[in-house]
Parts: sequence; structure tokens; C-alpha cells
Amino acid sequence: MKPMNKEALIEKLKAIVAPYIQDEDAYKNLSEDTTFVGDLKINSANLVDVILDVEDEFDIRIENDEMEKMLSVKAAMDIINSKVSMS
Amino acid sequence: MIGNDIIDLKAARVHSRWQEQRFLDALFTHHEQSFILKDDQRFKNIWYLWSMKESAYKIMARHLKHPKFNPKYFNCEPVSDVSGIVYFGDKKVTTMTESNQDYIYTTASVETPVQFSRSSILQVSSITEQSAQLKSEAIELFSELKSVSKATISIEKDPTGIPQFFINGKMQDHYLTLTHHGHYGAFAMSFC
Repeated sequence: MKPMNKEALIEKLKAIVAPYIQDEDAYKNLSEDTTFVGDLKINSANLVDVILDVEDEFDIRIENDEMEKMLSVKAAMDIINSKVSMS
Repeated sequence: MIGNDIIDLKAARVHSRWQEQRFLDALFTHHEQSFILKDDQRFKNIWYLWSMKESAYKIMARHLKHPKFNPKYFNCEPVSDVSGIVYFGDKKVTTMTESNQDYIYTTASVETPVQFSRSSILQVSSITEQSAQLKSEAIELFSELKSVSKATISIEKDPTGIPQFFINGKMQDHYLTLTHHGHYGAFAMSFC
């Protein structure tokens, strides 16, 4: 499977993080550079929810050392693309 | 040094997959999971331990340029419903927790006894408003404790995003830490 189209991937991530965001303005302007905690003000406990939702949406498993880095839209996209292209 | 974390229990109950084993496995060690599952208070136990971890993380994160999300690096040892110890690397911090039906609030401190003041804010839905209100209350308290006029005090974030007190533009040593979740926000400051 080819890595997903960037815009489509961002849209999917945007839908996944929607229930957890605490900063509407940052959410409206979400881009690759947006960080989950710093910009979207997602509570760190909800980062795990984001990770589990990403795993289910893309049918992948994210390891602990990858989870550690998954703090921005860009980092999430990199991890998803590396997994999706392997399967 | 201090760190704090507040959990809005209503928000946590709705917007989280806390009931799933995968959630537990991602956040908690086996030892912590046995604490969580020891009675029928799974929900409360999860968020109690989580607030301990997060408040300890905030102490460590003060010096990190590139924060990592590695919850199992922090090992919680609750001593009671209101106090505990969190171990990470070669360090440990003590925690104090206050909880009711609406929120769980934990403050972690390197020093013992813990010295801090705090304030909780209820029913403020916008995070921008909440943040402004927390800062204004923190300034008010700081002004009383330092006996200086409020007008001379400001709170600015340093380049790593950590809030600091300034008096007449001069940075102060005191630690200030802020936390938000759902409808709750709190600050803690240390005078050690």
C-alpha cells in the first residue's frame, strides 16, 4: 500500500483529535506543524486515546518508543506512513 | 521544584478509553495496574495515578527541550489516598492529592515538606479565559506573599514554554506551575 495522500491523512487525524482538543483556534488552523499538547492543549492523558484511535483507524500497532515521539501532527503522520507502507 | 495536574473527572469519563486494557498497558506498569484493579474503583484509581505521573513529569519537563511521552518511565507508589511517591530515573518526588466527585488534583514536589499555595477554578469553559483567570489569581497571591504591588508583577513564558514570575521585568526564582483540564484549572507556586 502506498503512503496516504498528505491532505487526506491530515483530515483523518483532525477528526481523531477533535474530541480531545482544548484550543479551538489552534484546531481550526491545524497543520503538519501543530503539536498535540502545546498547540491543541490536549490533556496528556488523552494522548493515549489519540494513539489508540490512530491504531484502530489505520489498523496498525504503535510501539512504546514510537509513542514517545508522537507529539505532533507531523510525527503522527510519519509513524502512520511508515506502518501503512509496510503492510 | 513543583509540578501539578488536575483531572476533570466528568471530562475524563466521557472522552477517554480508560476502560480498555490497551489504555492501561500504554500508561501503567504491571505494579500500577494491580493498584488500579485492586478494588471496584478502577476509574478513580486510574486518574489518581495519572495525576501523580503527570505532576512528576512536569518537574522533569522543565529542563527538557524535546519532551517525550513516556508514561511508564514514572513509577507511582501511592502511600494513601492523599499522598504518594513517584520514582523516575534516579529521582523521586512526593505527591499530595486532593479529590472529590468532580476533580482530582495532585501537586508534586522535590522538597519535603511540600510548600505551595494553590487555587482551583470552576466552570470556566474556554481555556483562554481559564488561563487568564489562573494567571490573575496567581499574580494576586504572589503580590500578597511578596508584599509588592500587583501592577509590578507579570507572568511570562520562558523560551521552553515554562511560566515564570517577573517583578518590574526581572525574572524571579519562584516556581509556578499551571494545569487545565475540562472545566477545571489550578496553579501552584513554591517558595522554597
